Amino acid sequence: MPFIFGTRHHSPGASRELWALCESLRPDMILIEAPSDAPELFVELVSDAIPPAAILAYTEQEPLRSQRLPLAYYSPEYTAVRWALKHGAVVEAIDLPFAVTLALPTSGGEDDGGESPYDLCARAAGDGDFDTFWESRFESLRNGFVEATLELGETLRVLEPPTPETLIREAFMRRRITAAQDAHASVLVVCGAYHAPALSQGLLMSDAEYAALPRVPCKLTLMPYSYEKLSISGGYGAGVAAPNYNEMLYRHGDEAAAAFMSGVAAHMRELGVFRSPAEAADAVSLARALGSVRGRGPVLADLRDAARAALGRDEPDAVARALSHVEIGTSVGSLPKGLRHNPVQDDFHRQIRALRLDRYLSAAETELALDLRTDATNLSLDRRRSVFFHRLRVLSVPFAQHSNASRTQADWKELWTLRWSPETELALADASQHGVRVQDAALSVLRNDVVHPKTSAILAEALEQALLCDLPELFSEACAALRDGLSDDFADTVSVIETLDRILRYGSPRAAETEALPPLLEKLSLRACLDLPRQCRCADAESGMVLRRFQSLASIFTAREPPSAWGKSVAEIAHSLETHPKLSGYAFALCPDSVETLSRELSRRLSPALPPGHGAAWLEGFISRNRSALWTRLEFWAALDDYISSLDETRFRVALVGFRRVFSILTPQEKRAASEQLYALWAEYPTDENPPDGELTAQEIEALEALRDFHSWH
Amino acid sequence: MEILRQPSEVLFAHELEALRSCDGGTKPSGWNLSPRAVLTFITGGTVGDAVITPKYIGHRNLVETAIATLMTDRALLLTGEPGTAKTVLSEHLAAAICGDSTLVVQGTMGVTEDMIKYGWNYAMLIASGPSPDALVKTPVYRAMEDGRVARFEELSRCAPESQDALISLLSEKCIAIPELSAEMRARRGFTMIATANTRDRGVSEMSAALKRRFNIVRLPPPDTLETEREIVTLRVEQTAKQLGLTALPPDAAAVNKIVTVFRELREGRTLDGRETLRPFNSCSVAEAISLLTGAMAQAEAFGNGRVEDAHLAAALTDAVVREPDKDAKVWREYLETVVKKRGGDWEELYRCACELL
Repeated sequence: MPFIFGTRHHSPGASRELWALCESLRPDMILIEAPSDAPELFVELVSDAIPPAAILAYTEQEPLRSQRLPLAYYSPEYTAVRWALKHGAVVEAIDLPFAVTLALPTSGGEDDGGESPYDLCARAAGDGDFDTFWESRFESLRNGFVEATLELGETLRVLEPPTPETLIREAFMRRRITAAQDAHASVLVVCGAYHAPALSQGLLMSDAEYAALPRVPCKLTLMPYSYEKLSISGGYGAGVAAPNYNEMLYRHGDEAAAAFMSGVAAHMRELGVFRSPAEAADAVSLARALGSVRGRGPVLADLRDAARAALGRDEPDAVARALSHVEIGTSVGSLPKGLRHNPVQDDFHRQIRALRLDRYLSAAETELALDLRTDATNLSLDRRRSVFFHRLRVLSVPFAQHSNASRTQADWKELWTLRWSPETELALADASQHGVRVQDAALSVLRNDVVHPKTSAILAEALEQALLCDLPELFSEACAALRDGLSDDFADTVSVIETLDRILRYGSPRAAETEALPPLLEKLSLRACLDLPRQCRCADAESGMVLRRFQSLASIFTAREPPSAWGKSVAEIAHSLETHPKLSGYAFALCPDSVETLSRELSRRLSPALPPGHGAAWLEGFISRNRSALWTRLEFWAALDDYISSLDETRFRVALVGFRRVFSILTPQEKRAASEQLYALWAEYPTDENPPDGELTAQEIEALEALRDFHSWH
Repeated sequence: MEILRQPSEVLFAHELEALRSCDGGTKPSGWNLSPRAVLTFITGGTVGDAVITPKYIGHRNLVETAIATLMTDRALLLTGEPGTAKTVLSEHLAAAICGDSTLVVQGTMGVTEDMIKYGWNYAMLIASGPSPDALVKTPVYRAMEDGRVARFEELSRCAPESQDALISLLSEKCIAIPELSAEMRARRGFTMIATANTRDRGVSEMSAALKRRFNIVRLPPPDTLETEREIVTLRVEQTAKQLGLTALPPDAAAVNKIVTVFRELREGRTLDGRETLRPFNSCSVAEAISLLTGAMAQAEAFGNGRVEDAHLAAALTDAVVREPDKDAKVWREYLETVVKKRGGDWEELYRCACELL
């Protein structure tokens, strides 16, 4: 009879018990519940790699599929192999091979941790979730662990009877166990608690049945993993919510609570929030008391509540961040040097062939224009190429470079410069940490921006990239995140408006779900609009940036329906004397009645009562919107003349700086028109009929010399 | 004369007795009930034949944390917006743990150190000098002497120097009485439950040293719209009765509108989750209650005794727009993006509110 050890993925308590069991049982063979096509990879993972690391299996032909089996140092499977290597026992894996599970329609063991029976079990026991149930009952169990997990397995099998797929897997595992027993005297089987009751007896899979299983060719490789990925990923060994906390449980046992709290306090200190070791100790005793109120030793849920109450104080965000830091951790595994086969590289070359880009795989730069219209003769090949290039761009793979200019010219045309270099392959190798194909690597890189966005603007960019990279699910995630996480910052809001406007304007040739965007854009527009008057009361140094955003909003609102408050906001800015005069000038030029009321506004702005720089700044803003209205008007020059004459020496100097800047943008034609206006104003229009007579007098030459400085400006 | 309101241990004496008689758990020393029984007293349930009414609904894990805190060395500080049942929870916890919820210091700016530690009967002090008989014991003193729970209401309203009196008291668990060359050491079972209003922050910010003596449990606003509506309706009726208002209480639709607006502004999203709004921290349950009683008063004095949308709009604008510039913007955005689109019986409210901007 084999000895069956039921466990739970990534359970440190199970690992501890397993090691102790191995020490007393001294098996000469250990069988682990894992795909059986790669026992040597397990040995390699444990002896050479630094955990967390994963075994990765993937198919190279459509449909492309992949599965990963991540292991941490404290995973029972890892412990089993570690013990076997140390004591010279043989290790075998006994579950269906990846080649079979990848061929099954429901992607094999992906949903192995099927929640329902586990949650039912936890709820029946009065615990909120299975993590709490397992931790409070099994993690610190010293005696009778094997019997307890066997009983748990039986309960789980009653709550949810095995599916046909599970029955097939178990028949296969029994077949492997029986085969192993023929060759070895003492066999230990390490499997999930659910399977433990079923492996000691039952039907074996026959040779014919084994031969009838579907198979696909697949490749296997190792990949480095991280606690962060472990905390979110599914995969064969279902993920674990708090990988770093599990490591603490493994390393510190009953002292894990203390290690956890001092870790939280230490990380809060790193965040600039001082929490002393004494406070961490108080938090531990609160967690113990809380555990006793809830009738158990303190588990992670109790530690969390205790940390919030005892260390949180006025810093709920800091304690939340410290908690997630300590629970998840930042450990990253690594593989020994030496190139392993890389799935992203394979996928890249497969795509190159499929998209007929082979001839661009050269070190010489080649330009490629893509036509994104659906009705084009090349069907959607160019569209798929564009998506591929954009994904490579997200992965920072140097192959296709986008020429931005083309986009503004025609929204259906994209211009790319292609060049292959050895760096391309290196970057692809780097990209394999994010996924197994170009598509999912790009997805995971962009998702990082969506899950931890620094600003709404970055989120909006991710949204645009999701569209360009044809990642519809990411697009809807980003949409939801954007809707939920709008910031109050004006600059951020405007930048999101710009991006959304661009998407709605140019996104049309790409089929994607953009209906969610117009209402969002509408709301942000209203917000920006209501915010604008306050933003315009800014210091001189900021006025340039605000003007740029104002202009951007104005151009967006000429192309699409402006929000109801737009006109009112613009008028408010135009007429206020508190806003920066440059912005008032610009706003005034936007007002529909600006031409009729121009002369009144001119006399108001060009007033000696205002600071000397005011008039010039106002003009600068006005002409940035409407250049022609002023130069052709005699009344403008008259007002300007009056104004300048009214300034004393000091004020004139200040005003001059501003006016110099305003008039520097005049073209030669405009200058000529301006001087004609001035001649008309002063009624001294020089004509060719009356050229100046004779030689210049010495006085005239002197006067001209004095003006030279002014001339040289033009 | 009838007492307006009895303390919890009198009102619920039968429940406490039922819990005590069936209590199988271990009691921490100085406690009348085991922690589990205290939890049942607060969150409700059945013991034997007796039904225990729930006294604090929702957020069970917070109540557990509160009880666990009282078992440790630290005191408990309940914080939260006005109207989140801090005082209620504090009173019931004290009643369940030591059978006495009346050892209370009601915190104000005027509370001095001798109202926290001990004072003197000055006539006796002058006549015969300091003696134990001349000492006036404070509620905190008596709680320490008997190993009971002291309650401190509105802690953050007290001046920092009186708050400071608690620091060494809570860590040493003793009061030094230099006048008598004596000290009074607290008996087992002594602990403190303080409450503080998060809105008072900045009035008298608690020092870090004092906060470190407390585990802080923050009580959130009601979980669901229904609970909140229920609380608001009930409290508005009670308040109106106390104030002797004769106007009709606001109807269900009016309460619904106010509670909806407040919840949405407070949480920064619409109830259906479709729209994200700029959150407003000042929209508490207590404020909804005072807003509605205010609208009732207005309807009584200047209307036909019935709360109408115009009254609600005026009261809402006053309640929400505190800083004309910033708040008006957010309020306007909310009206445009949410209220306007609702139509139906919200139309009138929208119209009235827009007129006021």
